[in-house]
Amino acid sequence: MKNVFCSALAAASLSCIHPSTTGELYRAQGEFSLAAEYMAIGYEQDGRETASELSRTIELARSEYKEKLAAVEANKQYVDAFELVREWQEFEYWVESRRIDEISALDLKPVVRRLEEKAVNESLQRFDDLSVGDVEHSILLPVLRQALALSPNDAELARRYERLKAALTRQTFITVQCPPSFGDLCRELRSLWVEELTKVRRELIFDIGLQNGRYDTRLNLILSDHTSGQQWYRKEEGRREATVPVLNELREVVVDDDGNKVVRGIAANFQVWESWRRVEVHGAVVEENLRGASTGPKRYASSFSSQSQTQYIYWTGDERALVAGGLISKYGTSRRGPQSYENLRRQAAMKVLSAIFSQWIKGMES
Amino acid sequence: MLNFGTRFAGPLVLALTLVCTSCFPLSLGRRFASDPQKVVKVGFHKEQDVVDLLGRPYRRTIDADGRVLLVYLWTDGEGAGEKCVIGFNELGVAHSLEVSP
Repeated sequence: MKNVFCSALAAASLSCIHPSTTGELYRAQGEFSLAAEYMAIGYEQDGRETASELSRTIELARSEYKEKLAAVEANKQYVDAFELVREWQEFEYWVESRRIDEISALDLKPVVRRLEEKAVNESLQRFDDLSVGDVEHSILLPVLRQALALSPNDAELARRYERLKAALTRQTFITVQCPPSFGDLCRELRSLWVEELTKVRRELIFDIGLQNGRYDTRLNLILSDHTSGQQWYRKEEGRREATVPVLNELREVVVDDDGNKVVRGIAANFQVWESWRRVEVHGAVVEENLRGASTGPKRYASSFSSQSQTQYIYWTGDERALVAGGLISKYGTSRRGPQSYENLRRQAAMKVLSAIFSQWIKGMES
Repeated sequence: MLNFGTRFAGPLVLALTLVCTSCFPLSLGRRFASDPQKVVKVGFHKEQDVVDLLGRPYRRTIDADGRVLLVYLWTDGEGAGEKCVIGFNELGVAHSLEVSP
């Protein structure tokens, strides 16, 4: 037992992957900042032994940042350069927080300031260029938003953003149409839609709720279902035969004069019964934009099928004949039926709702 | 026999746990809940919105100007991984988003 323990411990200590080894793997792939994360964990475990490797990895990460930054700056992509230098700056703060001997963090504040100014100019220029043309509001909005994010105290930009946002904001109201089979699920689906919509703060879409009657986008969720199923039916039947050793009154195996086990034949007749239920739900949201009636309604659709199937085995005769073939463990003996249509309908309806919501929100928020 | 079993059961379980847990690839962070470039709106979302959308960050840093940087990181320990750094301006609104590789 002691040997087992020692061998296991030895195996654990010898074969286990050290963070620095994983760091080397990432470094070999050119993922220097990820490699540095691993090297730092290795450094915390082993101290000075891995300091040089960590230091080398950090230098490689810095060189990579420097090269990437030079490339985007050369292309005059200052917004991209600013985003990159913010990542590099975070990396340097991380280096500083590790308190690694002989490695000090670089102060990138002047570079960040310089690139921030250029990024502001670039984003304003981009916005001005788009503003003079006949560009759709939905294209202009992200550009304006980025410019405002880079110059958050620019009151004029803020005003223009609010105006543009107001023009694009949609006050939605959703109604749900379901067949009677849905029962309370119909009301629940409406709540789930609203919950999904309000889970995160939205820039352009709001649900106005039941109390407020002023909305500019009407959504109609139409659901239908198709149920099918089969009551218990005999799926399979047969007979299995096997041999078992003969036991004496002391439950010992009986052997013949030649020393061979004495066996006897056993048999069982079996039937496999099966039952299944399936609900297929089809759903569609029809969106009517009441502001621009000329655009016509948009339709987002999805469908999903939920199925539940159960089986059991019934037999007469000696069950040991079935155990040998694994039939009892395969089919089980429980005669519990498949899931109810209500459960299956709920599962399918949730999937359909989720799929339609994803399609719709993608179109609305992008 | 019982004494022998109980005496070594603890260390054996410990050793087996070591073998089973520490020899798997060492992963960091969690897989991103959503694609940050698709769900985070620069210029609109604030720190809490980003946490609602992407989950708890791997690291949160505050720069010398008091501006927040959130780091989302995931590696599988076998060579794959992603890093996303989201910077916030002085009003707490996202102003930079960099995903690598």
